[in-house]
Amino acid sequence: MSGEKIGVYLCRCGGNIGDVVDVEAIADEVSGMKGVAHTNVQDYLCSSAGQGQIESDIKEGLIDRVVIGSCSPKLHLETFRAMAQKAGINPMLLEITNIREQCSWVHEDPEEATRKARGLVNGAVSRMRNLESLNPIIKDVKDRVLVVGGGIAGITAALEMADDREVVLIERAPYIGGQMIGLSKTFPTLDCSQCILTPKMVAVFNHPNITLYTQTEVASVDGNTGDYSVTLRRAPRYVDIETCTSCGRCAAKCPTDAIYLPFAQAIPQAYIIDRELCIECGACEKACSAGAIRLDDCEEEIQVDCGAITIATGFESIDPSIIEEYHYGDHPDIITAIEFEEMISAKSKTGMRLQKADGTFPERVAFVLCVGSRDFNRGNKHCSKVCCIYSQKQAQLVLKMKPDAGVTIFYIDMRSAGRRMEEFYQHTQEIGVNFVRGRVAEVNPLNGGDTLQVRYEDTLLGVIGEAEFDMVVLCPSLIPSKGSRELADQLGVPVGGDGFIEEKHVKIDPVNTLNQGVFVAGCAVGPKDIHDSVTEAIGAAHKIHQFLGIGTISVSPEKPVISGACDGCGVCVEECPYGALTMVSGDGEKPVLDPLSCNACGICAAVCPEGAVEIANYTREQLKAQAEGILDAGMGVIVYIDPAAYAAADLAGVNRTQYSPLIRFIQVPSIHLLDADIVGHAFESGAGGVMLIEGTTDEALTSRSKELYSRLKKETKAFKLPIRYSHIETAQYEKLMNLLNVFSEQVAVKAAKKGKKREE
Amino acid sequence: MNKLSLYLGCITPNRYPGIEKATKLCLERLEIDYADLSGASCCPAPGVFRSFDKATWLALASRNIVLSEEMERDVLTICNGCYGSLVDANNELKGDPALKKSTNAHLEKIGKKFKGTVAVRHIIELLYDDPGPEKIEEMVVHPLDLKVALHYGCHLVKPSKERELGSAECPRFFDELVEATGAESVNYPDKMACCGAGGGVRSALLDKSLEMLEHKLSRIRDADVDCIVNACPFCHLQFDGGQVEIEEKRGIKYNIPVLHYSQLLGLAFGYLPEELGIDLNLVTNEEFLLKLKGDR
Repeated sequence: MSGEKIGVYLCRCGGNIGDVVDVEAIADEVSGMKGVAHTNVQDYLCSSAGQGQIESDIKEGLIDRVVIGSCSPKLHLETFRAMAQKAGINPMLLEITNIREQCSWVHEDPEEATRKARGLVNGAVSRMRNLESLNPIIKDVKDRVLVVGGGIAGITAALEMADDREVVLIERAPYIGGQMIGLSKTFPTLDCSQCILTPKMVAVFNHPNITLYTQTEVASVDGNTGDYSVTLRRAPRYVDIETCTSCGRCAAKCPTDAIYLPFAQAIPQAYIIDRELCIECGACEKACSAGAIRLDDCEEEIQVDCGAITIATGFESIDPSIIEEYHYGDHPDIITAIEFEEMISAKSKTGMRLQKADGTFPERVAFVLCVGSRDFNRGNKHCSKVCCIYSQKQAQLVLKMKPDAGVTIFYIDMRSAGRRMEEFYQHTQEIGVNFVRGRVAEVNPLNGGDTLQVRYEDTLLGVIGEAEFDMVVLCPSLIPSKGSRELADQLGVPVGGDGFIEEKHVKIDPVNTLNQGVFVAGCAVGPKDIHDSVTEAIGAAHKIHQFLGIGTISVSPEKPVISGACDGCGVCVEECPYGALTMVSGDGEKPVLDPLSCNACGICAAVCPEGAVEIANYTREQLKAQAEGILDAGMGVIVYIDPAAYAAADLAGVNRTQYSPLIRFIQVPSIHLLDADIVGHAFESGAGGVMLIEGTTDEALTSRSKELYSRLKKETKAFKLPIRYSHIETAQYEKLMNLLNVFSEQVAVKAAKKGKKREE
Repeated sequence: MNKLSLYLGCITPNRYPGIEKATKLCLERLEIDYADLSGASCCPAPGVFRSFDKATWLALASRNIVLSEEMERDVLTICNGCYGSLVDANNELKGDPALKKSTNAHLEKIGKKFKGTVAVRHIIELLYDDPGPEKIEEMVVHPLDLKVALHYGCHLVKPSKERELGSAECPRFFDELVEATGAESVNYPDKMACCGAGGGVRSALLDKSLEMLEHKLSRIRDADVDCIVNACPFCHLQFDGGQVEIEEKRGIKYNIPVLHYSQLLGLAFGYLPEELGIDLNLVTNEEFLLKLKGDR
């Protein structure tokens, strides 16, 4: 390939990059590189002026290939490629090298950061010289959506989408409504939770385009973005939802109270049998005139094909007994705020009366905020956001029930941000709720449990105090629902250090995820109130409508290409973990690729004895050229990293976690396309060490990683340079940084020793 | 169980030799292999030394540990302060090669070297671990009919992340050892609060220190107990000597007897109060002594 005209565009990103990396100097240096026709530095490349510059440079024929040095390609690559296509070049001939999340945000020393960025840009240019024009592969998407979680977010998303396409809504509990159906009144307007939610629940049940499965969880996910095949696991209910009329005759006859309706307004309106209590006497079967009892019901698997998935798995609270000195569990009137809500909600077991365990009304009630929230030792660092306001609402409800009751809220900071909230706070104060600022030290049952003592420091008065109550309501830290991390893993969606799902962009892409077929809404992304959950659910529905509405998506054309050197031995067909290659006879037996089944892991390329398979745009020569270019700017550690782990490295950047500037990432579709030839070349080109970092949780790949590592170690032994493999999940960016630092230190020591020897 | 060297610290030999006597009687009864750690110095006190000069703290602490390494015995402390100082120093030096190197540079001048081959134990966690409260209960010859206000003290359980002794807010292990003697460990408010002595508070701010003590003493008095039990000679000094100081300064007499756990266990093993040095305390509560005698 010759005569290519590469344009190199570097972004200062306001100062986000320019304050640390000397982009002008880099532009100067690369302008002399082979193939570089033009260089340009902008304040904001992503702005219309920035993009417009590139576009007009392409149109004027100044350049025909583009290398951008800016923020992570995970943010704007698609935007820039669309621009490139519009301007008339193949979109694959535009690439972004990450000098923000993986450089200026994580290295403080301008000299080192600039050296690294120069290497990265060099590498990107060397790679660009060798890239091919490729046309995207178009795939049809399945016009069906799976919504996981039947709380307010899932219900809203399902209803918003169901007029346009089929929706499958699944819920783990035997009823929908989630946490919200267990709430009494909702802040700040105090409308009743079930009054606003029940109609939506009924609408879900009755909607012809919504298939509802309760007691159901995701068992496994197959397929890819746009055409998932999800296996659901549904626990037995022992009662047929369709035929049960919820007349209640079964429950009247059951001797052990094993058959019950979860609560009066539950949707589905159908009884359920608790098999732990059931003695299989058959009384319910006889009582049921509709014939709805199914004692032989068993767990079933359900297959759902869908194009998009919404994660609306919501939250749960921590077990407050981890804060031992609050003695949750030791006294029945030390309860959680959720238990308080349920007592006076649709799910009430006390006839919607607020009462102590002995049946009397609590005259003195304390609310303890931040139980395990904002706690750097036990529980969680994060704020649970809703507790300040809901505890006030609960306090108001107590005073409504008994105006002379004594109610105190113990808080650290009263956070009542948002429209109508400060007014709500004002109102709570006016009606006589007592506010004490300070974290509660202890809750102690006294006098054989007759009274509950709260000990605290009032940080406004600067005194230590004690007060006695009849009921203590703990407001526990909110965490993601059990199983949401596993679901995220199966869908290739990162979760944060706090366990919540990571949005594609925390501000400007709040309901998308890094997987373009997976969307998220509600408390699965972080604690929030009903209003915000509903807003996100509507947003997610809109985004899915946009995504599925086109009917097709383009799949990366970076797939295996089989050259004429192939002798038809069939090793690649055997080794492909996805069954994407098949032997087809014609002019001798040759493997043929199904690009939609292919994951571009590159195992076929690595195993081919003839070297006849290459991944388009990740060929040996391209990868070697990139490493060579990077190392042109001095010794570094070449880290081959897959997309899931690359996202972890970006997270480190977003969190400004500093690490060794020797680290240089080369993103590969999978580390399994590497062989000793590629790695050895990195060493020859001056790498002080090589790391393979894998983030995928796909066992088809991870089960082979150990073997790959030991093979590469053995085959590159002659270089006497360190090589390391590690598996890290996207959320574990701190672990990743530790690994990188330890390894870089080792490499630096080794390099220094070598340097010394040379001097001698 | 590994063999032990008994590290006394400062307060026991200088102020409360009875604690040493009681400890040795108990160790012998329990057939625990120990030897005196001769040549030992001050631990040194964590609140004062570690807070101001880490290098000096590590050098002195490691020297004591090295003496035990040379005997091939784990260090046994009978004091929370000594335990806090020595176990923390031992862990830091074992976990940080650079720190070990710089500390050994000091030790080299006196011909010593920290190797990191032994553990540092506190008598309470040691006894809880092996022989354990059940075994001890079996060995009790004279079950005690006493109500006890137990004081864990700070360095025994904190920093909780490093101690790994379970709950730091509502621990139970020491209570179980007390109950093994037949005594009742009475729950009282602020049981886990500091006695007011540590961290240099007693030396620098005596009035503040006594204020903290008095708060704790008033809680203990309300709990209506026969005595206070601790596992730390410095807490012991604060509870015992502090009561005299409070009486002198404020005219309030608490008169609550104070025992180190080894003294309580000694009583349950059938030794007399004077054999255990209980009569050497500053607080002399005749009623309590009579009760102990009357029990027999």
